[in-house]
Amino acid sequence: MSACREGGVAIERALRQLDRSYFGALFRESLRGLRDPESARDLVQDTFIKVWLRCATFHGESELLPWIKAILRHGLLDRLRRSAGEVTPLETTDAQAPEIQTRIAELSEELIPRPDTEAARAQLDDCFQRCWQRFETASPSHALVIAWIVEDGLTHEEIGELLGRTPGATREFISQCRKRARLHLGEWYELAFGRRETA
Amino acid sequence: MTDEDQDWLDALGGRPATGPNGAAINEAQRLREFIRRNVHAPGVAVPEQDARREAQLLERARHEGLIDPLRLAKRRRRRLTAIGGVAALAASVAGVTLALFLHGRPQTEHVRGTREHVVRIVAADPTALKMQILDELRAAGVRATGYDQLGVEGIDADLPEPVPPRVRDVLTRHHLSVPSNGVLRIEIAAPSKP
Repeated sequence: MSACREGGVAIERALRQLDRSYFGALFRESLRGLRDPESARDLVQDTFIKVWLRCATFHGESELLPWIKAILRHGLLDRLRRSAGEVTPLETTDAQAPEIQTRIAELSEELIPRPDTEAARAQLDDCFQRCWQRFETASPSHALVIAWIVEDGLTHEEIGELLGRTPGATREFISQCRKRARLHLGEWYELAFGRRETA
Repeated sequence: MTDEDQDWLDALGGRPATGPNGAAINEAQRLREFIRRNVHAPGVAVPEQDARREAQLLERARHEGLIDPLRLAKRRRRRLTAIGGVAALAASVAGVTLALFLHGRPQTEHVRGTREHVVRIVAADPTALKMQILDELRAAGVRATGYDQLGVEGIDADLPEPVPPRVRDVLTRHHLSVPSNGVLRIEIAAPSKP
């Protein structure tokens, strides 16, 4: 990073170093959301350029990789928003709305985890993987943000920074993440949870 | 987002969730367990060093003017000029908006309805209307953000609770209702061509 600030010939060396150190991790992260190697590579290189342009704002108060990753994730969500499937990621289409709303209402009943057995767990894992794949295809932004919350413990504020939205809009997005998880992972929810009996 | 969603978020992120929403916490903990076990970035092999990849990156950096010190200096000067230009433009837009407002000239805008808490407005000049509403909301003390997404201008704003009269005045001027969840979301588009 100091080479970035110094400028001149040191920059070439610094960019090469950046590429060798972080391309792999960032490429996998990018591929996970974009699913196309060429687009994923393009996003990583775009991120390196942004890193270089913003290096003056990095004061070493955090580790470098999380800082670079946040820049990549912001760009990734932005690209997903711009892609045809998620122009307005918080919404459902009119045609889908009643069915989805009914399904969400069904799944929004209070849930209690079913006890796990070894055999049931394998079946649940299999079901979860299938459902998650559908979730990633239908709502990539929401699925990605949920995965990032689990992996890195993102807070409400950090999610807001990634989305570039106000706290209120971020709260709404998080609420939508939960609803969409319930919708797309519905089959898994039914296997993994029982409904609380009402008196 | 409700308190329940907050508990869900905390539990999903592996933080101790202290709220009273046990069911939401259980749900998030179970979801977290399955995500940790089943969801991973693709395990593709990527060489640490790749001459072609590095050449592409350096070419891109050169194209962006980041490597040549002279072009870099010019770029920095251009950025400073651009920032000054944007500030001047913003001041002009604010001036024109204020002049239009004071002279009571009606803005051609039509609220086309609300879906999923997003108010949709059609206006001849979406950018100008976005700036106008943003300026008015901010002047009324509201934290509002503007954005542009695929040609649709948007505004997100968190309204104070209770909504003060001067904020209500802004909403009324633009035929907007007070959102029930306190989050004002507007999308402004140009009229579709016949």
